[in-house]
Amino acid sequence: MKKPAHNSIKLWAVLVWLLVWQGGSMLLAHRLPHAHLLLPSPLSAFESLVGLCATAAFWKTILWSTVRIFGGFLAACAAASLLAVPAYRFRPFRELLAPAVAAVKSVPVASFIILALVWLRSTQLSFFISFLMVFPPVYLGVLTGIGQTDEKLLEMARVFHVPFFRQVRYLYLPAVAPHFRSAVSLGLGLCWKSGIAAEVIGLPDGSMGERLYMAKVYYMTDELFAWTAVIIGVSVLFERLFLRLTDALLAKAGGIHADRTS
Amino acid sequence: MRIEHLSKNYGTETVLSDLSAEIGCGVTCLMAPSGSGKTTLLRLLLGLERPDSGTIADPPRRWGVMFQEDRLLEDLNATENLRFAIGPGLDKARAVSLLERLGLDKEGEKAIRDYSGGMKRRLALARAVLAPSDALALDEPFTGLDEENREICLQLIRETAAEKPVLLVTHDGDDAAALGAAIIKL
Repeated sequence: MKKPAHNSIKLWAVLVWLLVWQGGSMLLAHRLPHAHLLLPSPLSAFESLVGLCATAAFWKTILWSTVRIFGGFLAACAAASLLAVPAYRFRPFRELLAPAVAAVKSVPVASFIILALVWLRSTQLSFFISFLMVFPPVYLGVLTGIGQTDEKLLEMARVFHVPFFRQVRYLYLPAVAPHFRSAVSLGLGLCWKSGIAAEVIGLPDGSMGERLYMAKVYYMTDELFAWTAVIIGVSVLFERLFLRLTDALLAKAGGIHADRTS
Repeated sequence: MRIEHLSKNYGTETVLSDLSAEIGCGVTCLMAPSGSGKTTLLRLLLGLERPDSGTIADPPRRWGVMFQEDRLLEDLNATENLRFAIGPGLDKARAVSLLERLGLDKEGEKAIRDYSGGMKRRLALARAVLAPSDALALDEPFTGLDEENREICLQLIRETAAEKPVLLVTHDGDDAAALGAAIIKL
């Protein structure tokens, strides 16, 4: 039986919220001069977005931020997956990493951004922050998945002298896949939020965060909304693409359907 | 294979105490009521656990094993399960013939999760028999089998015992009698 989708977004609900936004902006415009500086209408935000799309700088800005934020995400996925294996195998190594992972999870992202600004150039900031935010959930997810691999099947494989890589493909990968997938889904949301926050604070030239900040400084509120919409769009697009790619790779590796077991 | 003064404790509980026995050709049956250490002895023989004292002399280099639970990969089909355990060395013609004999040849691509308990048991036996091994260890192999399939499996075990030692773990004296097995009582 198909599970009810509790968080699916319906078009009618989006339209209702757009109407609320429109109503709010009209109400303000009625009462205040220059109300568009406080809350532009959805239409003016959309016009601003269309205007931005027509410029080469807009696409360059998206590329600039995407390379760094998504690069940090990919690096974190790779490092977390690689470190989770020895961490599971060797308890002292796991114990060594535990405080660092707990600290990264609980320290406010703004503290890391400001601290990282002392150590790094602003152009490296969003990569680093994205890496830091994604590492803990992916590391803990892979670690949990390895720990949940069926001990009895592992024993069977040991008795039958099954080579290690076949064990990884058919025993470990199916156990890790659902945890990895949900960690990646969480990480993709986190990396965009924290990466853009880092750019707004660090203001590297040509980044989406810088454009957001400038829109705020010059009261180009419609452009602020347009850039926010772009960030949401890019984040959702990357989440969909990456999760599909992950599912396809896992299915190819061992006939595993991560979403079926999650 | 000789078991010499083997003992195993879990905390303060003694599961095996100073057990000595010899396992030779043909079928040897480990018989005892449930919870008296049969499976623990099997795990010691398979090298999955270490004894607290005593030794196992001349153990087989490789075992073909049928565990008390089926321990099959539920998402894979029968052939894929055999290929997982045995690898590219799986004799395809022999596998097809054995699956046919055990009544599993018509299942095709069906995943193991859709098999009945008896079908899983028979596939686990096929895997143990087909795996390259010097000896066979079968833990309660007839659980969940109807009379007809029990007879087929008994015959297969008899044939295998003519080639290599078979260690049968059971609590049922009829199994040992049907195979004319030497008996080790715990």
